[in-house]
Amino acid sequence: MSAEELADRQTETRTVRDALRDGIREEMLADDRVFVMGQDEEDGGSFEVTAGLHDEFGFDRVRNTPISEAAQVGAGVGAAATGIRPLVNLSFSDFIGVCFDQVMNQAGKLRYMFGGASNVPLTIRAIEGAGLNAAAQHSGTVHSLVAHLPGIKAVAPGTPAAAKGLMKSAIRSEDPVVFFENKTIYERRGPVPTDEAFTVPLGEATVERAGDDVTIVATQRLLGEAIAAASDVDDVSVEVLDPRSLYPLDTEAIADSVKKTGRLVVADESPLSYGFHAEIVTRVLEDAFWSLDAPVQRVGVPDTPIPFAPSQEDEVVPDADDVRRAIRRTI
Amino acid sequence: MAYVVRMPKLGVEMEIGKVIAWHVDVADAVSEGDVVAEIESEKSVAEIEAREDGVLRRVYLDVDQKAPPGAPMGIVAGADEDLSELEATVESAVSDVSADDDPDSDDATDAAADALTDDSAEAAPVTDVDESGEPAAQSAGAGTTDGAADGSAGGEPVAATTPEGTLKATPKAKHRAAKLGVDLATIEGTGVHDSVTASDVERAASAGSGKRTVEETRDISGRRRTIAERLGRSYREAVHVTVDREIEVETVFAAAAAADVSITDVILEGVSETLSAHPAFNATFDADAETHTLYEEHNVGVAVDVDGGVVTPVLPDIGSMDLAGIASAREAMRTRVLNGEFTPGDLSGGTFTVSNLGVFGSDAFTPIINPPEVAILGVNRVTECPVRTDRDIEFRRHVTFSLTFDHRVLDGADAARFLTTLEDRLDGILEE
Repeated sequence: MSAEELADRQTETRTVRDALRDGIREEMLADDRVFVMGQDEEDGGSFEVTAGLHDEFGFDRVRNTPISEAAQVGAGVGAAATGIRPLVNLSFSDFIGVCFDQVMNQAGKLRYMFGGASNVPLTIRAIEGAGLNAAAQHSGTVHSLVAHLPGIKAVAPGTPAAAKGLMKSAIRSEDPVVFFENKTIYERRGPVPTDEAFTVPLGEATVERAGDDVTIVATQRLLGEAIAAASDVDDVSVEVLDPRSLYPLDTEAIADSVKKTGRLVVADESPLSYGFHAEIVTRVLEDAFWSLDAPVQRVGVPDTPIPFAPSQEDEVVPDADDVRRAIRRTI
Repeated sequence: MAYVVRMPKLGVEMEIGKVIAWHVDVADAVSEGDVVAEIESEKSVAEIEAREDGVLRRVYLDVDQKAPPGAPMGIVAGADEDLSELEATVESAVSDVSADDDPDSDDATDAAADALTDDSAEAAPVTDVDESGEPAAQSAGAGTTDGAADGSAGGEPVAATTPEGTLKATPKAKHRAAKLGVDLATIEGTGVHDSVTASDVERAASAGSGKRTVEETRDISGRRRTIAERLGRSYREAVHVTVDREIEVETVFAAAAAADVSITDVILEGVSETLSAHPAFNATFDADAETHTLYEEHNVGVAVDVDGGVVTPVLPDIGSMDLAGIASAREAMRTRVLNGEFTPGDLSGGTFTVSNLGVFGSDAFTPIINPPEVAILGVNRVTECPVRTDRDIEFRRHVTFSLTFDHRVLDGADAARFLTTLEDRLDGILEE
C-alpha cells in the first residue's frame, strides 16, 4: 500500500498470513454463502492461513477434501455456478495441472458459454514460490499460466494490506479469481487498515516507493527485494510498483511511471520465457515507447525447474542483488 | 577505445559536408580536444575535435571530398589497437557512399536522408549487448536478460550498412532529437552500452546554441500578464506602421515656460488640436463588427513607467481643457499612478495614446497601439539640430515624433497629414 493510500486510515501491523485470514474471516461473517474447502482446511491448510476458522464456523463452512485438485476445483465450479461462493485452497500451485481443465474450460468459460446466464464466483487459492528447499514440484511460480487464460482473474499480492484487500475483492467477485500466495512471505509484516470496509479493487496497482529514475514493477517476494535494492542504490531514485493484480493489469499506472522515469525493470519469480515479464514490457512498449531511455531489464527465474539442493536453489532464485544489478544495467 | 571520426551534421538541413583540411597526418598522435579536421557544410564551417587521446590511424575522406553527415571520415585509436571490427563497419558504409561517383548527386543525399530515418540502426544494441562483460554463463544464475538471450539474435550488425555505423539511441532520445532538430550521429552517448540518451540530446541541443544557465525564472503574472496579453494581441492583429517626423519645438519650450508647465503638457495640447483636425485618429476599431468608431472627447492615455510594468491612465476630455488644466490633470493622475492609487476606471475609455520615451533618451521607436485604439504617438528626446535661417545657421531644439497607426483603418498619407498638422499646431502654439 502506498503512503497515500494509507494516509487517512487507521492501521495495525499484520503478517501476510494474518491479513489473509482476516480477509477470509470478515467475508465469511459478512456473507454466509462464503465457504472454505481444501486439503487439511479443517486444520488450517498446509500453511495455517485458515487456522481457527473451522472451530469458529464449523463443518458447513470449512471442510476438508480428498487429495484431488480436480475434485476440489470441479466441486468449487459447480458450487459457484449454483450461487454460493466457494474459496478453494489448491495448496501447491504446481499441481494446477491436475485441475487445469476445471480452471481453464469450466471456471473460465461458463459465463461466456451460457451467455451470461451463469456466474462463477469462485476463488481459488494457489500457493507458489521457491526458497524453502521444497523441490521442483512444490516450489514453482505458475501465475503466468493462469493470467494468460481469458475469463479468469489472477492476483498476487506482495504486502499484508494487498493480501487482505485483494482477498475480500476476490471473494466478492462474480468472476473466478485465482489468488496466488507466495509461501515465503506469509510472515512479512506491514500496516493493514483496520476498517472492515477496506478492500483493494481487482486491477489496481500501487506505488510502494516513489522515485524518478527507474521504475521497478515487482510482485510478491520480489516486491520486498526490490524495495531493499532501491534503498541500496542511493545514487539512483527508484520507483517500485506492486501491480497486485496480474489480470486485469493496471497498465496505466505502470506506463505513467515509466513515462516519468524512462527506465523499467520487471521483477517476478515466474520463469522468464513467455510470461509476466514479457506482458509488462510489451504493454510499456505499446503505451510508453517514446519515453524509454534505456533497455528494459527482467529479473526472474531462468528457464529451469527449481532445484532441490539449497545451493542450487539459491543460485536460480533472484533476490535483491539481482534487482540491484538490473537497476545498474539501466543507468 | 577506438572510434570512427564522422562527418558532423551542422544544422538540420545539412545534407553534404566537405573536408577543408586535415590538421593531423595519418599515424600522428592526437590528444582529446585537438582539432583533427575542418569541414564545411552548405552554410557553415566546423572543426572536428578528437574525442579521446589516440592516433589518427585511418583517413577515408581526403581534402575537398564530400560526404553526408554521419559518414566515416577516419579512425582514431590507440597506436596498436585492433581496428578490424571498426574497419569492417566503415568499409561497408564507405562502399555505399563511394559507389556513387558524384557525392553531390541526388542518390548520395537520399542515402544520407534515408540513413537518418533508418530504424534498422535500432537493431544494433541487440547484437552487441554483451559488451557489459556479463558472461553468457551468468544466465545459469538467477535469470536476467543480460546473458545468452541477447546472443541468440546473432548475425551481422544491421546498422553497419548505414553511414551511421552502429548508432545507438534510445526511443526517448530519438523522440527528443526529432523535436529539437538535433542530429544523433554527432552526439556521444553516455547511456547503457554508450547509447545516446534523452539527456545527451538535451545537452547537445543546448550546447549547439551556446551555453545557457538559468539564473532565475520569473512568473509572468498580474499586470505583466495583462500587458503581454493585450499588446500581444494588438501586435498580431493590428497592422502596425510607424511614421517618424522631426519637429522643431522651440515654441513648445517657450509656451511651457510662459505657462510654467512641462513640454509634455504643451505637446498634449497640440495633440488634442491635431485630433480635432483628424478625428479618424481619435477612435477605436472593432474588427469583428467591422466598425471604426470616432469620438467627440479626446480621452488621451499617457503611458507611465512604474514597477510591474507600464500603465496608461487616461486623461479624459483634454480637448475641453486649457494648458493649465491639462498640466494639473496630468500631474494629479501621475501622482495617483506612482502611488499605486489608480483604478481600472482610470485605465479605460481611451481614444488615443501618447508614450514619451524621450525622457529615457530614445531617438525613435515603434510604439504598439493600445487596443482597441487605432493610433499611438511616441515622443522622443529633445535634440539640437542646425537649421538654415535667412543668413545663418542656428541650432534649434527638435523632437522626433513616432506615430504608429493601424493600417487596417488608416493610411500612411493620413498619418503624414496628422504629423504635418501637429507640426503646424506646435509651431503656432504661442499664438493661442
